[in-house]
Amino acid sequence: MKGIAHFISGVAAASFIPAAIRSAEGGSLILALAGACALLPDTLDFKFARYFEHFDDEIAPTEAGFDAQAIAERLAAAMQTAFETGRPKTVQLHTLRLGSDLWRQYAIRFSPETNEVIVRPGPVVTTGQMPYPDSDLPDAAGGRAAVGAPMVHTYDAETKIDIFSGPCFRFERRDDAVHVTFLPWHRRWTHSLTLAAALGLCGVLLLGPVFGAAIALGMAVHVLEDQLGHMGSNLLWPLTRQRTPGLRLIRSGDPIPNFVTVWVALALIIFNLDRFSAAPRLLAWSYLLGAVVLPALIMLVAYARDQRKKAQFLSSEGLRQADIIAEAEEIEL
Amino acid sequence: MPDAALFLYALLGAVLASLLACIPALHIYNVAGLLILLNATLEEILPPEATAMLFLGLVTGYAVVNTIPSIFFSAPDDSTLFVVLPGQKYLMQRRGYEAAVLTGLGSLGGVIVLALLAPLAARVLPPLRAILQPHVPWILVAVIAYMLMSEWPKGTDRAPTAWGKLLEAWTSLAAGLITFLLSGLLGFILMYRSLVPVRVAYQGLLPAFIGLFAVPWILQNLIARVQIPPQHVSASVDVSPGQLARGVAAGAMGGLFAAFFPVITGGIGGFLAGHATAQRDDRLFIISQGASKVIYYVGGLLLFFVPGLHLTRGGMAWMLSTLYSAHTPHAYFLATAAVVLAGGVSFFLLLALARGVIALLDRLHYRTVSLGTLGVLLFIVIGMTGLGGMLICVVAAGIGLIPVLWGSRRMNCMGLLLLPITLNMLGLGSTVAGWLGLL
Repeated sequence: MKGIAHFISGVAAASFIPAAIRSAEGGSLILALAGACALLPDTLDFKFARYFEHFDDEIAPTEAGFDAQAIAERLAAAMQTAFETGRPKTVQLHTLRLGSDLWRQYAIRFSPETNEVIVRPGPVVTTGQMPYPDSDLPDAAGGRAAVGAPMVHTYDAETKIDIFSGPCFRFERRDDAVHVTFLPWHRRWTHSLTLAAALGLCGVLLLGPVFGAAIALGMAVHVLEDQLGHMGSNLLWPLTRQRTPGLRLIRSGDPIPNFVTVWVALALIIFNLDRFSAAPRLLAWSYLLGAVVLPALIMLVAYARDQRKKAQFLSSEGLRQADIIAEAEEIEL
Repeated sequence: MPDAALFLYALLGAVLASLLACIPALHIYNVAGLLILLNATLEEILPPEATAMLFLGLVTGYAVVNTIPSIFFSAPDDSTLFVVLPGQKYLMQRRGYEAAVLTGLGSLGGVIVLALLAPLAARVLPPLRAILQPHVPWILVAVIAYMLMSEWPKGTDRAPTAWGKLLEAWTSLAAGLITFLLSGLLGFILMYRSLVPVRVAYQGLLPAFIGLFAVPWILQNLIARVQIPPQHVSASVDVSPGQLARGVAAGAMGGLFAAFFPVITGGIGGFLAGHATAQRDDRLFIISQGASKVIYYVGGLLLFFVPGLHLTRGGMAWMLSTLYSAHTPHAYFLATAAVVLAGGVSFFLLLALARGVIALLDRLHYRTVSLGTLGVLLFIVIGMTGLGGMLICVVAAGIGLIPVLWGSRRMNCMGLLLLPITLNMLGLGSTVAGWLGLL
């Protein structure tokens, strides 16, 4: 899910603690802290953990010597090695910076139909990802390399590599095929209920039980919300090593689930602020029905219908990878 | 005064504001401030109820048309900040006119949302305000926390070591935090020791906003030698009714949030709405920004008219509150009708004015346009706020250049308002001002 949905859900979860509301009314920042804690798992991953990931290979193309075929072959070789040795291989692709505001775009696609890695050179783009017309590399051909092992159908769209940092892929043999995982450093130890409990305990010791509960709830809500999607998280790290697959109810990048989450969370916050105030004003059941249940139901039914159509075109592994990519494509304004 | 005559004042305001909105950096609040100063002289032709309608027309015309300087001259205010980047994208694709039309459609949608909400406002908003009022300080802190935490690193991951990569990535994040803190510090200084002369104290933030938001864009265009291709004035826009509705709905959410909460501007509201609706389509984004800024500016002033709410949000409402107070249902529905009328007229003026600006751009080199815009900005700053204002503008421009140079979010410049006002609401403002030696 997107950051704002997690943040507002964290606030909403903590707003169910009456003492937290009363304390917030007196000027405490406890609810804002719960929201911040709900952003913490992604903050730890995207701002810290990713930089400590070990790569087996780093592909850093240059403008003068851009060779799409060589990139495709290196990726295919890493996949082949992962399949033959049974040891996972992680490859980082770097962006190609041409100037302070100019980047050469290129794109990667894994094609399970033909068992190939396909690399396509792209135009020069600005940091706003705006392509310059007629800026394709002269005489640059695309690259294709066959992978000598079956590939599991994965995210089927092109991955465009253009501004700032490039993507990272992990190739891993499972049974008789190579699985491609995008951003392997995401949703591991940071997305665990055990970490949420541990931080909550620290909060209890340092700030008191109400703060501790708000911190733990904020973080736990993030982990549980991500579990609604396809990829899932490593829920009980360090007791578990692998991600527990998600419930496959939503796709984390889709607008409707994100919007419904924000809407419901906001409505619940208002409900709780009123409920725990000295003089409640809202008629509880009619408010919950009109502001929470009905709007959420309408939007979710529309979403379910839309998903039923889309699901025919994507495999479950593809949906898992799409989940991760959608989170990585956080809206940047 | 008869209602029809009052509508004429709203129309006059819309036409006047639409023309003035094309001048970069000339904020309609400054024009309204001048009218308030001249009120004693103009009282006979401008009685309070006519002033109210004129202000509604002014703010509506401005909110609809102020997209022109953002798209064509890269000179945004705090509410149109996010229009510049997609606007420039469209300009480079010869579609600047289409971008202006999309924001105009969003603005029209925003006006319709305000009209549709009018019958509900008097019933819904007073209890909502009563529930939220004691919680405004922590809500503002939550907005700040989200703004700062949701910025992502922009390193290239090319450093040889993990710590090197971390440091590189955190350079842009640190630049964002520093921008927020420095602009907040500037906000504190302006709040306690402004260099702007007392007689124009109501324009105290004008030089800071121009320096933070408009000057850096123009300098960037000048340094990068941006050139735009000839523009195409299209007969239609590439957007479906469903997309238009989604864009307007997103913008409405952000705009309403911004209009209702103190310190939250249309830009911040649009930013939050963009995140909440997970938009990745430029068209939807541009439409939502058009809706958001209209609902922020116009909705903020309309709140002043809502019976039983007693809410004064935004500069225009504060100025009007010195002259006028009529919180009757009749006055409220009259005000809403005036907004609908002014919104419709302003939309068509936007189309005509955008064509005029494109004709101008066809004749002039974009560098000349940028230099001319910079000249107008500085002229307005120095003309309205004197040398003290110019100094503020220069300092603010220095802060506004940090995100440009280090690739962090320009919105962090909103620390100018967010930091001092939030700390004041938390009861910490005077303590911090004391530490800074401002008391």
